[in-house]
Amino acid sequence: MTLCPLLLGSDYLRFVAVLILINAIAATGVNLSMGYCGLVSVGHAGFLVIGAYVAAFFVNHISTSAVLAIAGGAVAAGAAGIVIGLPTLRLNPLYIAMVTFGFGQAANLVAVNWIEVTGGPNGLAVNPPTILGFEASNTTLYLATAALFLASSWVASCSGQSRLGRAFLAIKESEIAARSMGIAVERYKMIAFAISSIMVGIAGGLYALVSGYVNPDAFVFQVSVLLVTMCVAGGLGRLSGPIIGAAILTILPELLRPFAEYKELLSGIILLGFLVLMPRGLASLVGGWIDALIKQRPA
Amino acid sequence: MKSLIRLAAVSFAALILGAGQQVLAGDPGISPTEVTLGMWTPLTGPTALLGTSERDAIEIAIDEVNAAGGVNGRKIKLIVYDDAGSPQEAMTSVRRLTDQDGVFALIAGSTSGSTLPVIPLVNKGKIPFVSSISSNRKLLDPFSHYIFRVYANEVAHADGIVEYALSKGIKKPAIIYNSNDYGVGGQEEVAALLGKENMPLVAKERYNQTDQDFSAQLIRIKESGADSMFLWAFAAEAGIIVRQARELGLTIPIYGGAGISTPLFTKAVGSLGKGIVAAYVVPDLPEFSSKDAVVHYRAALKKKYPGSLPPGRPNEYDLGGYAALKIFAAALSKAGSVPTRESLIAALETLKDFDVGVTFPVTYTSTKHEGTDQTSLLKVSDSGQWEMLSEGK
Amino acid sequence: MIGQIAVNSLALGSIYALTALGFVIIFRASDVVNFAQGEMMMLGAMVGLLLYRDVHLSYAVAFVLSIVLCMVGGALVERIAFRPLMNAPHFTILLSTVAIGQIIRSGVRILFGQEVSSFPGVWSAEPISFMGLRTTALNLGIVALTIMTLLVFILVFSWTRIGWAMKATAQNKRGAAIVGISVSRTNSQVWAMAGGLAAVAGILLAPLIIITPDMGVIGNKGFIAAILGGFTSLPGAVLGGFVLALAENLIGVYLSSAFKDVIVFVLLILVLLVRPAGLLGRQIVKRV
Repeated sequence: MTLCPLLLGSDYLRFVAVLILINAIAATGVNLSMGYCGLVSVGHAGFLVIGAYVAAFFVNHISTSAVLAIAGGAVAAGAAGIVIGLPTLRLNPLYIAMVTFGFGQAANLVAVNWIEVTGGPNGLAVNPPTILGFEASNTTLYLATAALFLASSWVASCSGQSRLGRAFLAIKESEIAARSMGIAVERYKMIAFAISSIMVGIAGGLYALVSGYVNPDAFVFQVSVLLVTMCVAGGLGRLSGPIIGAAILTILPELLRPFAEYKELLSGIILLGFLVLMPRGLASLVGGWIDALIKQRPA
Repeated sequence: MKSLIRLAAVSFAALILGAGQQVLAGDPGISPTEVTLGMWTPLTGPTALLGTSERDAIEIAIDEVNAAGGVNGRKIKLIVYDDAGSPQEAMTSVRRLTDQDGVFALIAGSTSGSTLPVIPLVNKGKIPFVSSISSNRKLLDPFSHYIFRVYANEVAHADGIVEYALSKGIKKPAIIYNSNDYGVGGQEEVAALLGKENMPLVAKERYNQTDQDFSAQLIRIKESGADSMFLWAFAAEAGIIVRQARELGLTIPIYGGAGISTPLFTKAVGSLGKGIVAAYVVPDLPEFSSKDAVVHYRAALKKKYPGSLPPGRPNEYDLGGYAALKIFAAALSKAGSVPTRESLIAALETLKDFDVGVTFPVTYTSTKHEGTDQTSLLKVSDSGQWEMLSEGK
Repeated sequence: MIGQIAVNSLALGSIYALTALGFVIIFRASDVVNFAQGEMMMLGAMVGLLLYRDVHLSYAVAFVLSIVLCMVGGALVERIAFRPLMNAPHFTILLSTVAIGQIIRSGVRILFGQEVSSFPGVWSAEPISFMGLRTTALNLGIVALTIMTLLVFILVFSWTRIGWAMKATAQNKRGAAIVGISVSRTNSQVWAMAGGLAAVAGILLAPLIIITPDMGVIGNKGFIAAILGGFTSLPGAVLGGFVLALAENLIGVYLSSAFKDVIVFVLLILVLLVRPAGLLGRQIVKRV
């Protein structure tokens, strides 16, 4: 299914499709931490920054291997996630929000100001990566992204259903009850946050390789908000939620593009409408219909 | 279930976006009756004034060309997308313009941060691009066969103002600059030029676009004992910087880059701005010039906005956009009866001292696509308005 | 020099403090973090500018009229966006404030153009000197008004029925309804108040900053200042605002002006780790 877009005619459409997948990976990561475990984060763009610039650095200076670059980005993002998470996750959700917000802003500011390494506001061109020694064409990059997307969905689904998932759910519903039942709350929160930061880091690395250029403007606060919006509009806590959210919120600006400056206004109104009409996200609505349909069938 | 939703999402995307593919023989975007131009520019976001000005100007120029019958019988069509100042949007916009909409050429461009990332796409797509916004030197360094610039770049701006400042006898210059591509580029140029005179900057203070307060930077500049200050900022924050500098008792002369040369700056600083000199990219002030072409443009702009002109208009971006389109049209008319992108580029490269009348004349060759390196200087008069100090260098 | 830095931080501190106050007041009154706060302030400033400059009303009339219009606007927003969302999950409400902010910003941009203008201040912006320190009457006046606004709202929350009703509704909607408080009417009042306060803040601060449709980014710093002060405390918000401004300037002058924002963030995080409730906040205790 995910390979359908390869049949699309133009480079532009393929690019949009790749963006949808990349955003879906990132949104799945955010969903893992927010939707499954209740950890609010409005700074996940910070992990995108790390993933993207580290991957760019690898490809430009160390080795052109795409795999290495993305792995490098993922590890760096994960490490950052652990460093941020360790002292913070035990705090009140509002403060977690603020710390992640600060992290997101700080990461962006470092990217803007550390000109020697990151190229500052002009950003960096990213050399074309290679996969298994061959220069990666658009198609191979697309395939690689699709593969990672499926992998991340699989991870999310495993986490959701296993003992891990049940622990997350318990923590989200009531930390106090979970703790009193013997669940090591801090450890599970850390796991969720770490996995989510790794996923978002992978998305960042992919973005750098696919677009061929990294630049701090692509990682501003609005991007963190966008990731959260993808989860909420799609359906927080559900597997398909972030995927639907990513698809809708990547396609929407493209559909609205011909409206020039009205795009901003229209997307705000559409988003508001979405939230008001479907407070629990599209997936819950669709899920509800499907559930109802299933229930109607005779046993 | 999972896969169903995924299929639905992706197919939906394919369906909606798959519609509207154009298939044309030869180069895309050109037919016997029409030629299509693509434009991506900030129409929203903090730099929206640049984009909206350029779009208005290009539309006015297109109307004029089309009213006279088009170029060799071909009317010009314009597709405009808003990139909101974001490089990601810029990249998708340009991809859409080149792959999906099949435009013949690109015009105007966007701020440097949203134009530089697009260069590989332009080169790979082999599509001509006449740029009238980005002043960053990296647009044409390394050289690109496809990109042409209408005004002087940041190197020339810095050249003009530094030369003037040196002529005023500065000895201990400082600089305060924006951390965006405009500011950083400017600072590098100024430092390099001063370095040639063995005059290092005694203070280099940087700030971020969304900052509202510059006391920290200004206090440091004051403490450094600087006798002059270069200001590489946009009009909005430049106004606050000058006000705060004067509040702190910093009365040293201020020399500005082209970013502050708009009427919005003088409105923001009022009488505090007296005596400030800045680089400028066009030979005459768009608001007051009595040159024919500029007067003509002002009249056309007033027709577009019958009530009252939006604040800060017309500005140099209006003039740049107008010039860019006229340059394109002139080249297109010389590009043969069935123009191709290559013949357009060849025609552009024959332009020598071509003067639209609103900007400096441009000259292109097959190895030089920087139209001009002429700049002018502006000074804030006693009545708190910009006035021309010297025209052309 | 520290003295001058401190004095210089007054103007910036007021900007952060008034914005932070807006966040905390709405939070206390409705349990919602209003990410449209910055944009609402921008709207107030724009409306004020329009009335003063284009309709040629006097400063005072423009000020008051702008406040009234924004209060009406606030109540309208509540009707359209928040009433249907009363029982929605928190994230949804949060994101809807973001969406509203975006709508306000793009609406203003389309209607008024990419306006970059300045607003005259009530007091003079001529530099004055005392004790070897330089500032302006404008800066001092704004600080005074900021503190007055703080006092007014402390009084509202402690001494008026409306204030009590707001606090009660924020803490427990059902409980409030049971004791006879009209939740929907209180919510309308809260958002009308939010609109009015944002207008006051916007117009007061307008002479210090430049008015553009993107002015709303002050909201980010205001949010941080509010957290620094302890999100539940009104005096904390104001204190947080001034402390943040002072920290930024001190770090900017003595350490690095380019990286001052990053350093300030790191410091903030450290402060929160030591005192999670912020400077003046109370630890939120959850009873089981």
